[in-house]
Amino acid sequence: MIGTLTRATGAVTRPVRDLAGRAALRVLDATLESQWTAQAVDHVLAAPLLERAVERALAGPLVDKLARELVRQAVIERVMEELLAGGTADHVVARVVESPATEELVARVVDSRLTEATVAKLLSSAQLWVLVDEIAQSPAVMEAVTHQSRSFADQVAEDLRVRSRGADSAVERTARRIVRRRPRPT
Amino acid sequence: MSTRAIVTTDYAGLVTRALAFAVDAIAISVVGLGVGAIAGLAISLFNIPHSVTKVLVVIGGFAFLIWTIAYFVTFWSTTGQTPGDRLMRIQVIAADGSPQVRVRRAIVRFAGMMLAAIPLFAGFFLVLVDDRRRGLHDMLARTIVVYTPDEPAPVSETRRSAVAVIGEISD
Repeated sequence: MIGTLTRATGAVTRPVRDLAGRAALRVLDATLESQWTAQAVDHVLAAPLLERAVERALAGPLVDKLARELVRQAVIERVMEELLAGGTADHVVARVVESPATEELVARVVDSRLTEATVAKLLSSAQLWVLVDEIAQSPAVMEAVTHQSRSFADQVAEDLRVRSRGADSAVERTARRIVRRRPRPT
Repeated sequence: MSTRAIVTTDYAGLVTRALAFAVDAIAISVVGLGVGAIAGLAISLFNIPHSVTKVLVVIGGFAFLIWTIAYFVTFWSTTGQTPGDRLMRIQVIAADGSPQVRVRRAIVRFAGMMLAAIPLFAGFFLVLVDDRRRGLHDMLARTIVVYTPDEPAPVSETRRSAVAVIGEISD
């Protein structure tokens, strides 16, 4: 009995609710498109009240709650993934790297005392010298140094051989002239 | 070592041979002095009479002579090249072109070198006027000294790997 009554009431009120909803949407659209609404928004935005409201909101616990929610909902990760997937991050990084401001910033960092202090700390670090030793004793470096030394020694020896062979002939020619012998047949 | 006869007219001259000999003399002296110094230090620890020291010096001199003979004879009769000869790319071979120089011939050659040095090294200057650039010691031992071709540089494992990688990249 009650169920039948509820269904009957619903059948009667549903068209009325739909009609009321559509009418409310039209009113809203008309309001949003109205120039008065735009002006009202401008007024509100220009009002000191809004500024004070924002200040109070930022000073209050809202920011902390917002931050907690951003972390909880992994919003930053999602945004980053979207940026990386769309190639936007690459574009942004490229623009940042190529900008004169970045160059100036890097130059300032390099010239700063912080860099000097960092380099001094690195040089005084025992770990750095362990690393340098590791690299210096690596087979690739040893091979390169040995090859370089061998090449130089070979070059010197080759030069010596060429010069000595030239001297062989020159000395022999002179000696044969002195003892009046004809040149050696070759 | 190959026993095929070497046919060449590319005889090594006096300057090249003198430089090779100088390198060998340095090697012999360095080893001799090193051993002599160690022996001298060891002997200095003991209180040895002067007469015994004289005998030890004579023994040391004799040992140095043996070491020098062994050095030349061993290299000539095995590879035909002392380290100095190898550096200057020359080789001692038999006069008939055989690359094998027998031990007896090597000993005769060393004795000939001593003889050649006695008259103010005149025996070596025969190299300048002989058609086969032979010194007195070469004539006595029936040997000649020839230039040898340059050896190809050894290719290391790292360089081989690098070449292989470059080859793969270029493919």
